[in-house]
Amino acid sequence: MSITKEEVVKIAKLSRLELKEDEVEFFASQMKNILELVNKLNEVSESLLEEEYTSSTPLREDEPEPSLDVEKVLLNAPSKRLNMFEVPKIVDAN
Amino acid sequence: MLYKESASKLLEEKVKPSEILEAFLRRKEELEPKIRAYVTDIYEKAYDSAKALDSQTPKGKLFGIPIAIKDNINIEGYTTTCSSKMLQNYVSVYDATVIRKLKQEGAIIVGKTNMDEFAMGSSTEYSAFFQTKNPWNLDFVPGGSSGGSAASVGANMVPLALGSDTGGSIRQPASFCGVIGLKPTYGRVSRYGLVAFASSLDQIGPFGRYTKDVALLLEVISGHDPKDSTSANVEVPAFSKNLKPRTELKVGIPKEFMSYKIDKEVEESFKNFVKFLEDNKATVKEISLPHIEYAIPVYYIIAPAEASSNLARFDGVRYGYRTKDFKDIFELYAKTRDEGFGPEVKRRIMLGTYVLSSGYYEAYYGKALAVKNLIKKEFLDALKDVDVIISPTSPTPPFRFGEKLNDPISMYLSDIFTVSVNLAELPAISIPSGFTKNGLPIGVQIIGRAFDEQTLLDLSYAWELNYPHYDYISNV
Repeated sequence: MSITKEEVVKIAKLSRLELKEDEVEFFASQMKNILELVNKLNEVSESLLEEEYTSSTPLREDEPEPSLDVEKVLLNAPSKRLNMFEVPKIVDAN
Repeated sequence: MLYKESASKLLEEKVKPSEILEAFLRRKEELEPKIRAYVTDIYEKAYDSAKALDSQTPKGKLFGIPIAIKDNINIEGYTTTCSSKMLQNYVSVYDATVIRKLKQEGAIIVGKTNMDEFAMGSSTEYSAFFQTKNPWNLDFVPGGSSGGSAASVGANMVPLALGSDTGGSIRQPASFCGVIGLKPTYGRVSRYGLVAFASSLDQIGPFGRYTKDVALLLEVISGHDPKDSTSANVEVPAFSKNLKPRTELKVGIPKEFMSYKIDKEVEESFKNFVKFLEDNKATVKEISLPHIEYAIPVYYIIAPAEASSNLARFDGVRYGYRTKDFKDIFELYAKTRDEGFGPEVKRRIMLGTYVLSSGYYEAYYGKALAVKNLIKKEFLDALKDVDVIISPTSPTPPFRFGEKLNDPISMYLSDIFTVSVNLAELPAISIPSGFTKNGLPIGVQIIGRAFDEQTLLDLSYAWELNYPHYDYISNV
């Protein structure tokens, strides 16, 4: 199992992490070691495993309840305007 | 000296809340500059609250008892940093359910404790802020990720604390700091208000120096909560009232555990504990958990996968850190996260993203879940035959700062005895079993049946009557 620097850059992009050049190298070698560790799982025979892992979270009735005040929700916002979170423009006007 | 007493005794003797608080405050003033257990220290404010309680009629199971809280549990009006730059200035806008329950029972919060960033680590060295030292020797780590909580109790700066345990984060630091730490059954305690790391494994649990105190705290924080749908709707026993020394049990030792590389002094201490059991009417036998060796690989797929998903919320938009310069939304996310997270958190997010990405999902996450199920089944089968399963808590005594910092795998292996318990969703306790010749604490882990924390506490109680570990007071 090896993991290339290109793959690390791709995973970082999916993870929304802008890695610096030295970080890419650093993580490539460490992820290789960790993946070798987790690849031990291939030794476990499929015949021992249950068909499908099923685990479910109990559900409740969907009844509306009061939630946090807008003021509290915005308390920690890094940037806000009126009663909204402020973000860079994401829709191109053209 | 009051700081040496159990919370239960202080309650029984109706010691004034301000006297209790003052005793621990003095101890904190003496030791905290060396140990650094707290990210946020509110002892002074707690003293005022205690003073206000003095004139009241005692009400509540923890009336006037000081408690420390790991800094990933929300307390309204205080920061919840997760020891991360990402949340350094985050102020909680609500109380976690466990905090609401503590307040109801009259407990007094004295501070928020240091931890590995987002609870990822086994030494508290991954805190983005500072290192917490081991209360028995300042050159050694306190364990982690709940290192601040464990160290604070271990140094008698507080009688009780809360931590969280995803793969050993309560039990391993309890073992390293010479205190009792309990990870309850998955679903026993509500996680509402706990910052999520790996949701299928996370559980909040108590630290203390006396079994009775741990039982009392567990009793207070347990129970179903509509705000955490994974919390189980099962009755909460009166753990502290039911407490009785008990050793007449069928005890299993997994032969696979004993084949791991274990430090000689840890092994001796464990054997001494086994001898105590045998001398006190326990039936000790070897058992087998054939797939336990895969617990670490399974854990390092499931935990990072869930972490990568849970930590997606830290995007610099709604709360937390935001980068200074960005040209578009992608750069806002990516730079915020690169600057806000430390190396272990990034490592796990990337690992999790990798194992969940298309083409790998089934081979990694799907397989890991299936093997988790197999490990759980083996535990449940073994616990049909024995009442409890025992092992050392950690294969080594506390290690030195820096020793494992740049070798993630050797850090991961420090949890080799504890992670499988989270995978099996069972309760387990770590109790102090002795010291190395250099004076560093060693712990033993007892694993029980689902929702049978009582047996773990009863056995812990029997042990401390034989070996009153709480009589040892750290002196650094």
